[in-house]
Amino acid sequence: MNVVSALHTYLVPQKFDRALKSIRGALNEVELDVVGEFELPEDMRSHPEGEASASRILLVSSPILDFEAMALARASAVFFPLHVLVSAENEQTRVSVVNPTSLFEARLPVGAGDPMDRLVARVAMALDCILERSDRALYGEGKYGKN
Amino acid sequence: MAEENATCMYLIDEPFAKALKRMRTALAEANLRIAGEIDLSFRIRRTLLMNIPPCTVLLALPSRHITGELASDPRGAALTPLHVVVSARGARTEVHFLKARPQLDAFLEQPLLATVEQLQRALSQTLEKIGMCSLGA
Repeated sequence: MNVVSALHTYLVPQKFDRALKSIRGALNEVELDVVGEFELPEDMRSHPEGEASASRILLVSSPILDFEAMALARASAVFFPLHVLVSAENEQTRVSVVNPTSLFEARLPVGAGDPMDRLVARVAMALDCILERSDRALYGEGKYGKN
Repeated sequence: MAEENATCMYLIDEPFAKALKRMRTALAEANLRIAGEIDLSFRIRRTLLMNIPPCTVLLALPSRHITGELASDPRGAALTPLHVVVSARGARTEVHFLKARPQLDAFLEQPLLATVEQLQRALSQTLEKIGMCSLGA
């Protein structure tokens, strides 16, 4: 089992509030819902330079994946929705996604693994889209546009 | 091959609505915070038009003084708040949560692991008071 590959980190070249809006929009485009979100209280944030930075956890899922995961075992819902950590990092925003099923060597609830893998892949697709759009905005259409 | 189940199940000998209420009270008494609730069965019924037994996920956080930087670490944030799945099973209610210890190398810092384990222990102790541990997790 490769724990390192379970962690995906993205650096969005946008300020926190704008990045949050982009993330919500991109998730919506790949038919994922933000079913809940909560801001971390100041005592729960990291203080790299003695100053608390804005940080929020988005709870992301889709009803069809929830249903697939729970069809065989209700216990699968211990992993759904997926937590996506969004943190301000100066003028940029760091987005971290960990596939929670890969943090354990123990036997997972039946049916939990595959829907979670697909959920993580769709979140990655949404975040890749944001980065691609940011690159387009920075470097123009030449790199990504049609020939 | 993995031997141990990642989750554990407790059975509460009460119908769903009553058991859910008891769960909220018991968690509060154990100084655990409920950061939110997600009504999964309602979401599935509303979007997929499928009826499934009531199922709600309670998002449990440790008490403030042991929270530390848990949720600001990506690996800690993947597990906190911890999901407590409360689901109807006929006239009874089943409760599931993660009991397995995350892999040691999955956590860069030992305190993160200790906090997750402390939360798991607090949940077990709380559920021992209102339900019965079931082997059929």
